Amino acid sequence: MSSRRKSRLKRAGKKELVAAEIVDALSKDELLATHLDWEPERLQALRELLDAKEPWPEHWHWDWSKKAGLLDFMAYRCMGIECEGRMQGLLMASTIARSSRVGPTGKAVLYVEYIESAPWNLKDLVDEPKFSGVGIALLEAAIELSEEEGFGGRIGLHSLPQSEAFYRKYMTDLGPDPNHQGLHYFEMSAEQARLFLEGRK
Amino acid sequence: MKVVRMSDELFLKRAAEEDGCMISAVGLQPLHAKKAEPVQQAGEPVRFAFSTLISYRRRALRMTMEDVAQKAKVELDELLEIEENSSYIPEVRTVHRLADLLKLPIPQLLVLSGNAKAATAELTEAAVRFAARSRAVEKLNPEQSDALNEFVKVLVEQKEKEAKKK
Repeated sequence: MSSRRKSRLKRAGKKELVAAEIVDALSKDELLATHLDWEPERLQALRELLDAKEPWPEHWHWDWSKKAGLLDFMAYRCMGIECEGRMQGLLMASTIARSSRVGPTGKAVLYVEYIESAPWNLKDLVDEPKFSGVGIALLEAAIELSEEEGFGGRIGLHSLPQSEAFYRKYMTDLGPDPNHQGLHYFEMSAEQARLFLEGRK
Repeated sequence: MKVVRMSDELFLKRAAEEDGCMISAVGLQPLHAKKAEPVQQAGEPVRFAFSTLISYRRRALRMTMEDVAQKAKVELDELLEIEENSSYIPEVRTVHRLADLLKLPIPQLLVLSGNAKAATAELTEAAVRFAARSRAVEKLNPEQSDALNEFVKVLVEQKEKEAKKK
């Protein structure tokens, strides 16, 4: 059963924090309900991109039923960030220990299988995004989960090309991974996690 | 590391840096991407069970990845692939070496690794059950140890049954 804890987002274009909640351990139904909520705005944006002959964002082709199916396994955990009554972003992580590819091997990392922001928060898709900080709040939640699982705040993920600049700010880019269609693999060490949460002092 | 909640001031700064950009990261395979070679024998939960079994068994025997790589004469990179990438199919020779070192029955491990076809549905069912129960932390907890022991028991029983048939 899902649980909630306080978080926040930034109203896009303003220096205003808005109360939000991390909804942890989302069920299959909650994941699919989010998909249904996002779908009309995805389709609308897709139509507009098609009309403008713009390329489509790659991540819109993910197989939702496959993602939902992973929640049958205890090792997968899905969480979202809800604000003003709608889910603003989703994250799915695998708690199967994966070895860090940075420094000495053997240190476990939490692997983020999937992370995505709602379509109305992306400036490539809408003229006026609603919220900023979805990725920040979800990374913060992932670090917390990593700590809870005994991985010391370490996380790893494969970024889509258009998101690499975002992850490069906080994580180590370990370059293209031939086993994931050449997507760049990023890792956040325990020290990088601390810096991410506390900033440089 | 003790998790500290990010201050609101820092959150505002970081959120401004994010500024509506794409944050998508995906370990799952996109539908339009070139598909990996199909796993001919073992389905996804079974392959997942194989990766998890190797990882749990190694940790239950208190061995590091380096220990296993060295003793089984398997490249460390390949061992990483085996434990972390459930679509990776190791060579038969590698499976034999791991089975010897980790004291697991070879025929069943070949099935789980995608190198052979399962003779019965029992092994597949046990693998799916094991995959569903697996949840890893650094040290195996009692529940994980139970899951591992039960699964290894099924593997050994399968091997014995097949030996009796022959």
